[in-house]
Amino acid sequence: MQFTKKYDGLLKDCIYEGEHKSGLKVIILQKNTAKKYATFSTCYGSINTEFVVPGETEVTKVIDGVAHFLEHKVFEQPDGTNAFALFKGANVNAFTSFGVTNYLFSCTDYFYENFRQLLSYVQTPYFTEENVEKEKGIIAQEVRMYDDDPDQVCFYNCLRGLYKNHPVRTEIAGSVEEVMKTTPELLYKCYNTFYHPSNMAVICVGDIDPEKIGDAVDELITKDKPEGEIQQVFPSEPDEIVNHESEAYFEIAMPSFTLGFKDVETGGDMLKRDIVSSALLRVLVGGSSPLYERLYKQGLINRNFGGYYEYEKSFAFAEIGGESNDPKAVANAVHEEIARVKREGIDPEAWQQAMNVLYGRYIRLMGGDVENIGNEYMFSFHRGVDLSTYPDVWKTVTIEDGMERLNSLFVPERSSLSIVYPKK
Amino acid sequence: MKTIQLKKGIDLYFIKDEKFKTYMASVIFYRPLTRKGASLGSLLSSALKMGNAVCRTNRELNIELEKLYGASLYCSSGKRGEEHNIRVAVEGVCDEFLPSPAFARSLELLFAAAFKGGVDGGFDLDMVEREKTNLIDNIRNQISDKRYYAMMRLEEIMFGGEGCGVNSLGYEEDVEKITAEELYGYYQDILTTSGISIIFTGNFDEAAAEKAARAAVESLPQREASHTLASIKDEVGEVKRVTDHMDVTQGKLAIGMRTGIKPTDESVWAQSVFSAIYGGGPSSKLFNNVRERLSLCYYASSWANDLVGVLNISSGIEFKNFDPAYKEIMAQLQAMKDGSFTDEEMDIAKKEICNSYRSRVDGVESLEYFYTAQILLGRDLTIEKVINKIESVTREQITAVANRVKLDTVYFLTGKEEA
Repeated sequence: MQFTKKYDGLLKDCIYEGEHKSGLKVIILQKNTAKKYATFSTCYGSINTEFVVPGETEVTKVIDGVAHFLEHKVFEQPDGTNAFALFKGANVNAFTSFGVTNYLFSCTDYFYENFRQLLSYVQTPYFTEENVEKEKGIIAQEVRMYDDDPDQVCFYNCLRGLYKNHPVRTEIAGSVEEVMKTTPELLYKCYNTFYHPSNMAVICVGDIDPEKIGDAVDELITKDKPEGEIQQVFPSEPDEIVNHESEAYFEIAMPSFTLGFKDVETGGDMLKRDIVSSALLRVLVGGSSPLYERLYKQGLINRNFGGYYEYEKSFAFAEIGGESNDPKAVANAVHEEIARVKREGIDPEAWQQAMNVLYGRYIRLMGGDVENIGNEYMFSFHRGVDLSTYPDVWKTVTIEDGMERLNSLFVPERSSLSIVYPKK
Repeated sequence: MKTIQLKKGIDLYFIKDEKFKTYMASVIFYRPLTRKGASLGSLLSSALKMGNAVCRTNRELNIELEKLYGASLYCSSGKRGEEHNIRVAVEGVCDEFLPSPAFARSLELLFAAAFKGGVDGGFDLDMVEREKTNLIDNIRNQISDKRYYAMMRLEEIMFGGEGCGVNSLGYEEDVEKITAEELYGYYQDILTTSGISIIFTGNFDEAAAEKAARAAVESLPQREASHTLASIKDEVGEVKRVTDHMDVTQGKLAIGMRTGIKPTDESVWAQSVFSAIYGGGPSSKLFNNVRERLSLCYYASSWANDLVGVLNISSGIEFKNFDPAYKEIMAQLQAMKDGSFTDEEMDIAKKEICNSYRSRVDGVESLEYFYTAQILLGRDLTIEKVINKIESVTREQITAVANRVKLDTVYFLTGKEEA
């Protein structure tokens, strides 16, 4: 397969991009590192519970947690061994997010050998009644581990407050009950739909020879382009939220909270929206904001206070969270601060500082650990965003964009506060 | 690594590699770990972020850092074995990648936070009270992460809160009593008596770094300073078994064993390989038996704390599965003692460890961590030398380590209603 080479003048690195005849996208970010990282990912995550199989007309709806169950089972090899054993001197793993499932490894030696193993095992599904049954106990323990994690519960309660129908409101691994209902047929159905190379990407980061990657892909990916396209289906989601407040109780010493804002603008220029929203969050609740200083001095927040923006093509939200002995007072103060900045405008100096931070963060990300680079690039890719355009998009962002976003994203009527309190 | 003695007890280290786009500069104060010092050090590391001679408030400091394209300033108090480390560090992007230079200013901020903490010759009373409250909240809230909590309880029970068993976050009853004056006195004591390492890692201008570091310590006195190594216990008494009950859905099993191996013993390398085969990664015995074969858990792993000669094991299981999980963990340990592991298992484990060492050269923090461990242990090892040592470990050495392992403590965090 052929690659086109791009030189990134800011980072002083090269990027190679190509498309295999199967439709598989291959991207190599060359970096001068000892560790090399490879990912083989599919644009299929926990939110893809409804879809139209290529060639069919009816919508298929499956239970929650199948993408994550698949992530576990893809490791199972037809000879009964675990794919972990195929790798040499590597860190091998996989994870499932809302929008993607990613199979990965990193290593300093044996990279090309290991890369071939990655391509092979992900393309070798082997699901039986017996091996699916065996996995249920393991996944049930994983789910229970999350059930005991107050931060996880706080986060999902907030999402359930924001979303009425969208599957982002459900835990990635599903519930123990649904895990127990998983069957080999269900796994094959989802695997055959979403694990076609045309729905997947290979992204590698490090001191890597693109030709060797291309040769391995040519040899080991034998499928052609599919006949039809996979159609992802999402239930219609109203702009309105479900509830403004929710509570849960845990064996903890201090309450923690998540204040979510549902973004009703999705798709389109997502990278720009991400930059503007992230800068805004810094201006509103960042360590240099007047609100942060005031709440900190009042003893209402500690160092864990902050906000971030998260998005996929089909949903987006902002979250502000932390620990506090009075989460409701903090939430009220955040709403008041948003109202004040809407009235008085964004402080231009604070805006410039926030934009500077985002610029520095991007360089630190792209000059940092190859796994972080690869993961961010991979997430962006499946959202239809080219992360290497970040500095160019960053340049186009203005304080007026910030003001517009402030009014469209931070709407009190579309916010939900989730609190976890210590059990009495 | 290049070493320059700035003064007696104050050393400057350069771990330079121009491939980096970032740098990390750290000031580490080191002294023996004590129970009282843990609380004071924790509180001090918070206070150092709250104002100094250059930035009088935390907000001023944060604004200055943002102007430097989001450079990060870290203040922490931690332990390595029985040594207490108070660390102030700054991490940022190299000037050549930024629209305007930031390196020189970031060093000013770092050295002001480390050496000129406090405002007008003291710590503000309200600030200290607030940070005490925050610290006490943090100490109490260690319960929120149950896996971490189980390991913390294990350490507490195993070492009885002494030596390397001191909780470096501190103790509620000790924090309560600290006054602003006492804290400032502790800080002055650290500034004048603790050993100081100043470490630059990544891509930076050596001449500018040395000049800034020299100026920063100019007014500090020289001092007698040496590193503290943990005393390693070989003997164990009766096995300590403790169960706590809490309203949780998953049980957490934490097991502590003693190997009696000192970090400077040659068998420390075999200890690493032993632990990797036993419970290191997805190729290990614990993963393949407790998780894959018996489906008892999502995670079951072991790791060796080389500095204190201890092997830890951790797993999350159903309450009712304590017996089968515990039995299997012990059965796999017996297999290691009997030498029943294949050459392939040994080879995989070594490759895993070497890969992890080789990967360290890519991160400023992991490089600093590797070299500060060498400084602590007073040895002159490079990553390549460590890899050679790992590669030459033999089967006999691994079995010998396995046979030194003695069960010390078994801790189980289980449900409220469980027996």
